[in-house]
Amino acid sequence: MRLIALAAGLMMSLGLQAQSDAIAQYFNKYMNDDRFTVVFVSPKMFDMVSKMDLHTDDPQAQATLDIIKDLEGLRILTTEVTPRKFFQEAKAMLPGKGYEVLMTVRDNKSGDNVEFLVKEAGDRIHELLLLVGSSDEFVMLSFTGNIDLKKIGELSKVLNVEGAEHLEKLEDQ
Amino acid sequence: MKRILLLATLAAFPLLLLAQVRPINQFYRTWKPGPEVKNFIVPGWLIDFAGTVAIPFVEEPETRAALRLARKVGKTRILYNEDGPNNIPVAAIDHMVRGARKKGYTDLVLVQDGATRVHVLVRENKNEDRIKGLLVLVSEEDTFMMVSSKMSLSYAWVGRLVRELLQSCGEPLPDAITHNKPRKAHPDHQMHYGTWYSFSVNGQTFTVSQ
Repeated sequence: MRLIALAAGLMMSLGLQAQSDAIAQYFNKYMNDDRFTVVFVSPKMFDMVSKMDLHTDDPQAQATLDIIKDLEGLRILTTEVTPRKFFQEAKAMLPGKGYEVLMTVRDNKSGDNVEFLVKEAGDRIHELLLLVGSSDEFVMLSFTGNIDLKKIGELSKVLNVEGAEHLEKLEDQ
Repeated sequence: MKRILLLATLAAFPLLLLAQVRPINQFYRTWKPGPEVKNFIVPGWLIDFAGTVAIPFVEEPETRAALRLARKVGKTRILYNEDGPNNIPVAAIDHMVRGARKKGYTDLVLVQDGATRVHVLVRENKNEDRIKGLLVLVSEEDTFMMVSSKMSLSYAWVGRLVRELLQSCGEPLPDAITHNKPRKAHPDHQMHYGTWYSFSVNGQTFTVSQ
């Protein structure tokens, strides 16, 4: 009986690992593709920033630092080549991988799509995924860590990535 | 016998240190003789000396902070290919990066835009409170640069530098980090050395006795 429980726990952890690796696999698939702009900030970078114990009296800058301290990773993947095709491909990859749709924004005139998805770990949000599929650009933006939706919009001001401005819409969630 | 073993261990220690960055060493030695490749090694003492000499002549706080940071950098190897086509294959660079990761280097940041790629890796000490090595790789269609540096850079020191930089840009520091408090003279010292005076110049506190 103990062996069965142990095996079940092992299989479950492997399943969860497979879910969390879905985005990583998609990211790694196009990481060396010249059609894409790629930004990867590792957990080590965020860990280093937290160890530096930075403080500032500027409230906005301090708010940004506080958010960064809770982050564990950042991945950005963008392309202007067949953006709608990559948007559909990314969306098709997500069902069954533990992501829940938080918000969808669709512009009927232009056909642009913005989707926010989250993956929870217990009672906190462990990953925030932003997918943008417009006529001009496809953007996949993934934050991992201890995500506070009310504060994550502050990062849009420092990221300077097209599509990141949509993060401010999360403050009302 | 013990003495021989001790001497052998001490002699092998530098070799162990070299072994820790062997993939980078091999990559550097393999590609440095290339016809369009420039390479040079900058010793740590020279970087320290240049920073020490330059700092008094620099007024901008950001530049001064960068020079103080540079003084923490040790021996640096640079491999640079600009004039000709990029004749260092991507597979060789990836092989070197994989080897560096096995020897303790961790990815920090990777940015790629088209054919331009910037990859930064670091190696920490055992306590994970300071950076011991930095590897920066920049590649474009016709350019490649590798910068590999040894250093001993603590996160606490970098945090202090950033806070001082913010102060010099006009933001006040929290009271706990102020360094300009004058020292009180120890009674024994006062008896032997007379009156003590302390003053600050550019954030450095000096104490003299009269």
